[in-house]
Amino acid sequence: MVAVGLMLTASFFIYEATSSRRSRSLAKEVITAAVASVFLGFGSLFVLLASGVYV
Amino acid sequence: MATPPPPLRRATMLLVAILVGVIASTASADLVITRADRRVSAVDLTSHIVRVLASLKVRCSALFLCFHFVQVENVGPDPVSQVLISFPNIQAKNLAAIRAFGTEGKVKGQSTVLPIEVVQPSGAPPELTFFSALLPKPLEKGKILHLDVLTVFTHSLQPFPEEITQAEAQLVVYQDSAHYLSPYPVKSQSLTIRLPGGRVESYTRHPSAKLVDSELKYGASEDLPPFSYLPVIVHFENNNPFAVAKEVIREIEISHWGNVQITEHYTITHGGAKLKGEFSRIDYQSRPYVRGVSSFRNLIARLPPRAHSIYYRDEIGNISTSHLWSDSKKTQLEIEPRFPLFGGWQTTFTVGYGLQLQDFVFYSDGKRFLNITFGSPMEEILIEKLIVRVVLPEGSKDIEVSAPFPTKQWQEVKYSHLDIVGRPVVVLEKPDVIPEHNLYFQVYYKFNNISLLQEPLMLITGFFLLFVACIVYMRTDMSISKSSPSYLAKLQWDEVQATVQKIQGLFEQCLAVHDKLEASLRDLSRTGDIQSCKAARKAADAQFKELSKELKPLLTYLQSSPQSYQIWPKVEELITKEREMQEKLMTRHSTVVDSFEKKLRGQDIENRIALQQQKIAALRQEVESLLEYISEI
Repeated sequence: MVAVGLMLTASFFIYEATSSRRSRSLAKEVITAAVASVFLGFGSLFVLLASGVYV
Repeated sequence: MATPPPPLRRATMLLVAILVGVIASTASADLVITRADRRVSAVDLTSHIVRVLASLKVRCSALFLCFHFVQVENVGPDPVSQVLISFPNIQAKNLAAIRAFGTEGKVKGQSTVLPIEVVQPSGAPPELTFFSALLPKPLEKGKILHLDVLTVFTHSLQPFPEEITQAEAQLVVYQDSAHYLSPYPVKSQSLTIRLPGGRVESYTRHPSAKLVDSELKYGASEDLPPFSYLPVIVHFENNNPFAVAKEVIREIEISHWGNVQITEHYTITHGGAKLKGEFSRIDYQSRPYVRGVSSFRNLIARLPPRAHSIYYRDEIGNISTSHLWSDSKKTQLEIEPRFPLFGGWQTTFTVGYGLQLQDFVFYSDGKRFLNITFGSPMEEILIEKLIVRVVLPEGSKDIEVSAPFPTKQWQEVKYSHLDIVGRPVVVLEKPDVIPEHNLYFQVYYKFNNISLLQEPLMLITGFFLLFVACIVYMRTDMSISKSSPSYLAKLQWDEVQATVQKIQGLFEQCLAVHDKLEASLRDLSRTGDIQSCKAARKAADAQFKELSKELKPLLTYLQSSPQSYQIWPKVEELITKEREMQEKLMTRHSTVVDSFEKKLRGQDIENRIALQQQKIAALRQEVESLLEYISEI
């Protein structure tokens, strides 16, 4: 459940970051991408462990 | 009466001849065996293991156990520190395990396990294999040592006849020596062979031989010289199951996230007399105890307790004929292959299960070690080749193995989930494994806890690279022609959009200022503080001026840009409306402040500004709808 929620936030952030065109800041994009990828990484790891694939 | 197979008989004759010639050369006069009793048991063998001990109730028929109760006396002048035990090469080839226990003195007390080594004494005949049991302290002159030797032989029961039909019972042949074969003179000895019941076809006649109640006893003989040998052959019925696994590959995968996964691949054959003729399913199912009495259907495996996710499948798919019972000491799995196994038939399958990590991996002064059983959990099975692969987590170093018996070892690499360099694998191979070999062995290794984080980090970097790729894609300009009209139009449209967004931002700031003014009015009605109200009004004025200044260049740009023909009227409308709103708000504000100064009643104030309030509300709505429209373009 944690993984699913975090995946949603990731998709939301990415969508928001790419909606503006010229007035984007690289720092904001990179930060949101980093945070989203951290959450996604841990979330998918625990999904794998819970489903029995002990990586 | 069937004759025993010719090659074996010839070999025994040869052996006897050689022994007779060799007696004089290697007789060691230091030790004398005062009493030797041997008990051979073929009862409990379900396969070809000859196990010689009456108290062991294992149901495996391929192993032969031979228990030698030997009483040794030192008659020589010097203390003796080792006792030699010898076997003919034919038997020694099939020797799977040998263990010795020794007790000193006349009374049978606590016995200690003696280490056994293979030795080659000088002048020994090459047809014999010698083992030496090392005594913890030397046996003094005149002292007596009780030596119990347990030996296990595989493939010693030969099916004879070698092919039977479904209706016949299985008969096997066992060969041994009635006289105890030893490099020392023997004062008295006896041999007892325990048979599984059923009929005994024939046995070597001897004046001291007695067959009583499925126990064949060759009685005590006195004063035998060293290396005396008297071959005996017993031909009897043995219908216990003969499960032989040609190859078992046992893979133990350790994951520090909390699981030890064991996967075992088996290739099992029936090692008894081969089935000749046809197999009739009707006969087998209607009267299994008459037709197909030597076949077997079930195999039982004893797994450790708390084993989970157990599966039993083969190449076709899952095999559902299995039962599982678990309690706190063990988990018992009974599996039934897809067909009953008759002589010469074979089947392959895979059994897998997972175990808790904390039961099997421990930590001791800097190193972790895995403590797990070596052999297969299947009972009553003889494994001709066992390969154990221990897969350690990625990044393990300093790998060592300590096993209670010698094995062939080497290392490999396995690539599994989320691996960069692969996981180190220690492979142990051992031929002829019997259930006695199911002891614990240890694998030591060093593993840094931080390396555990390497896996989620890999996942995180993977996702991050995905995001970075998206960002890079959005930012690069990948159009093919830079001067086509559509490309230029697109560029201009992008700029118009950017300007419009900036204007939008400014308008939102204006609206925020309006809100602040209204808030100050509300404060006024609450607190009656006119000065702060006026100050707020002044601040609002200043902010409006700033915003209109910022707005000007944007508006000029927008007007001049050719792409803005759609938006421009709306923006103009927005500006005019906003200006109106500003004016109305300002007038209202001043009216309210004046009223307060004149100390009019609330109702009067309301009346004065009612009209303005309505207009302001309407204007506000229009402004907001326009802003929405603009943002959607």
